[in-house]
Formats: sequence, C-alpha cells, structure tokens
Amino acid sequence: MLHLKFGALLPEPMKPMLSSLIVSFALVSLARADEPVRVSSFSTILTEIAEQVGGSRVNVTAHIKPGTDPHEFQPKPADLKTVGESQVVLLSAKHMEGYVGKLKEATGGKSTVVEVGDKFPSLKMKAGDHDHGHGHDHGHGEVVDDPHWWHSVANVKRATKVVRDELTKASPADKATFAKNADAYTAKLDALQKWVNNKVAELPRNQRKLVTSHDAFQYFARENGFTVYAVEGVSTADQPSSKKVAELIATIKKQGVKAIFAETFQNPKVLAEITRETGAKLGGELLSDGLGEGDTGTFEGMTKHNVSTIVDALK
Amino acid sequence: MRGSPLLRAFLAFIGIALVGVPLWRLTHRPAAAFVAPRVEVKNQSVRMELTLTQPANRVSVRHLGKVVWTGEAPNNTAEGEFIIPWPPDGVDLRVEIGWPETAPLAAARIRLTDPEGTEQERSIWSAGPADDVLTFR
Repeated sequence: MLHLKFGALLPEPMKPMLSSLIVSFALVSLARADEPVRVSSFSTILTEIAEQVGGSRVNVTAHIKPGTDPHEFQPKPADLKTVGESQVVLLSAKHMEGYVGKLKEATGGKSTVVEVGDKFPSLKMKAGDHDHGHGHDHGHGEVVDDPHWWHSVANVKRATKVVRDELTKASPADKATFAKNADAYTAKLDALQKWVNNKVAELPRNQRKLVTSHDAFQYFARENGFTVYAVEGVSTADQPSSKKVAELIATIKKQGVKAIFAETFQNPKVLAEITRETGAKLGGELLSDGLGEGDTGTFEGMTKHNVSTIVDALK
Repeated sequence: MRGSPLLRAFLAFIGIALVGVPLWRLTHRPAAAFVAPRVEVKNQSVRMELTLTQPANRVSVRHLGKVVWTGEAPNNTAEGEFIIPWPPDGVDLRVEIGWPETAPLAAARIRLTDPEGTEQERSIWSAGPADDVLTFR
C-alpha cells in the first residue's frame, strides 16, 4: 500500500505530525461540506425563493433590498466581492441586469451564475428609445423580453424549481431538504394562485383594463384577462412622449376606464395629468419591480396588495 | 404710437383676457364630461347543468363575488338557472363543490347555455373540496 510505503519513508518523530495533518484536513473538509450554500441574489423575489427552498442550508446575500429599483441598480465593489465568494448567483435575467458581465467577471468562473428568468418563456414588448438605466441601450421600437416575469404566480413556481435544482447541484447532500422545502413553498404558491383567481373573478371581464405608469404587468394581464395600457415603456427611466400621453387619454375615455395606477418607483405627475383629463381616479400604488416593505415584503403580500388594489379600484 | 402707456397696457390686458378665458375653458373642462359612459350590460338568463363523478352535499356558483346559485347533487347531477349580465368578453364563474376532504380524485362537468343558446362545457378536477374559477365566453 502506498501510504504504508510513504509512512515507512518518514522518520519516526514525523509520523504523529503527519497523522495530525491528515486529520486536520479531513475535519476542515467536513466542516466545509457542512457549511450552508453561499448564495448572492439580485432580485427580492429570488431572495425569498432561495431562503424558502434553502432554509438553514443556505446563506443568502440580498444585493437588491425591498424598495430598491432594480432598473436603476448598479453593483458596488462590496457587491462584487460578495459575488466572488458565492457559490450560486441568482439573477432575474430577461435583460434586467445589464451588469451581468461584471458579475461573471467577479466570480472568476468559480460560481454558478443562474439567469433564472431565461429558463422560461418571455412575453415581448417594445423598448423606448433611451437608456434604461440598466447598463445598455435599446433602440426605438426594438422588441425586447419583458423582464417582469414575477407578476405571474406560475412563473414564480417555475423559478422555484430552477432555484431548487441549482442549490441541489451546489450541495447534493441537501437534495432531500431542498426538495421538501420547494414542495412546501410551491403549495403556498398554489394557494396564492387560487386566491388570485377568486379575487380577479370579482371583476367583470369587460372592466379588466389596466393603465399603469410603467409597462410591468403583461404577465399578470395575460394570465388574468386584462388589457394593459402603459404610460411608459419597460423601464422606470422612460419618459412618455406627449403623443403617447394624448393617445392614452383618448383610449381611457373611449374604454371608460375607471381607475389608473401609479407605481412605487414612478413620478406620478403624468398620471395626475391623465386623471385630470379623463376623470378616471388614481387607483393606488402598485409594486411593479419587486417586494416592498411591511405587509408587501413577501411575494404573497406583494401579489395580494397588487391584485386587491387593481380589482377594488376597477370594480 | 399714440396714447398713454397706461391705456395701451390696459388694452393689451383686455386683449389677453379675451383670448385667455376661452383658452382656459378649453384646457380645463370638468373631467367628468370627458369620460365615455360605460355600456350597461343587460342581465340575462343562463341555464346550467352539472354532472359529477361523485355526489356532493353542496355546490355553489358565484358571479362577481356574489352567490347566484346553490344546490346539492346527491345523484351526481344538478340543474339550475340564474340571471347574470353577459358581456361580449364572457363571464368568470367561481364554482365550489363540497366533496369531502378525504374524497378521492373526482371530476365535475359544468355545461352552460348562454343567452344566445350556445352550449359551453368546462371541467373541474379535485381530490377533496373543489374551488375553481371557470371562464365562459
């Protein structure tokens, strides 16, 4: 045997030292295997999913906190340092994070960068002629993926499976725990989907017309039979043209829309002008770009807030 | 130019006021006047037939959050009629079926005859009590 031969070559006083060294290495390896998976998340929704699925077996760093506008976020050196030490990096994707190149560079190829939203189908939308604030430009009229996939409960269920699988790859020993936690979270999402269906059913189908200040609700609209008329394009940095505002005012009048909605990260001046011109009321604030704080600090809370606000105002 | 500056300023003010008042009215009309009246949808009679694979002690149908029909289906079938508005976009009905919690997987078929006489069918599957929203267009 090799180790016996190797041991035989060592002087007698060195043998206890070698044994200690081997035991130390083994203990360090065991301790490392028992450490939670280090996860970096660039989406408030994905942070919740990772925490729910990973439980105590993950250590999640939330780079985007509730209330932060992800369209405007840029990672700082401290973020890149944490990313470099992470095993799994979770991104919303669908072009939300224009800084993805920086993150991949920061990982040095050591960690897995998971572009979660790219794992399931996209709805398309026209970009405005401007910089979205997320690191790259889209030409006027260019068709891009709508990045706001989390306004569909079905998409959040898909994202849960993606996160479960990636955590399992990072820590195969925790496969059963991740699977059990993912099932429990999916059951909560199923109950939430039922709640959404029942709430939306309180609103006549011919009144499901959603006017918002930021075109973020296509996924919700498609699942629930709404037509969306957005004042702006895809991003919070977009400024609507006077022509577009005039068109919207005409549409709202024609369709008899009862209420329009502001969003947390928006300047409501344009909406105020529209309400004045059309007589539609301001229906309340919607959370379009991620979790809020307090009651809206969970996916369930955010979804219930948005759906209740929409349905109650349009009734 | 002749005349006192005061008079000229006054005449200019009158001119601006004459143009300004109609302009103000044009741009600040009362908002309510702009809103198109929503088309009222008439209430119409809808006929419903239920077929279940397992009897249920209670079935209820809600439209826009209000119960429009309740009944039992002890022999796996039930019939009903209710009056609801039926817009061209169709209607969503929330159907709750009181199958026992421990019941095996069961199905219900809901056949609706809309106000124009067209029949539409939808199905619900559930193990235990069912609570689903069905869309009829």
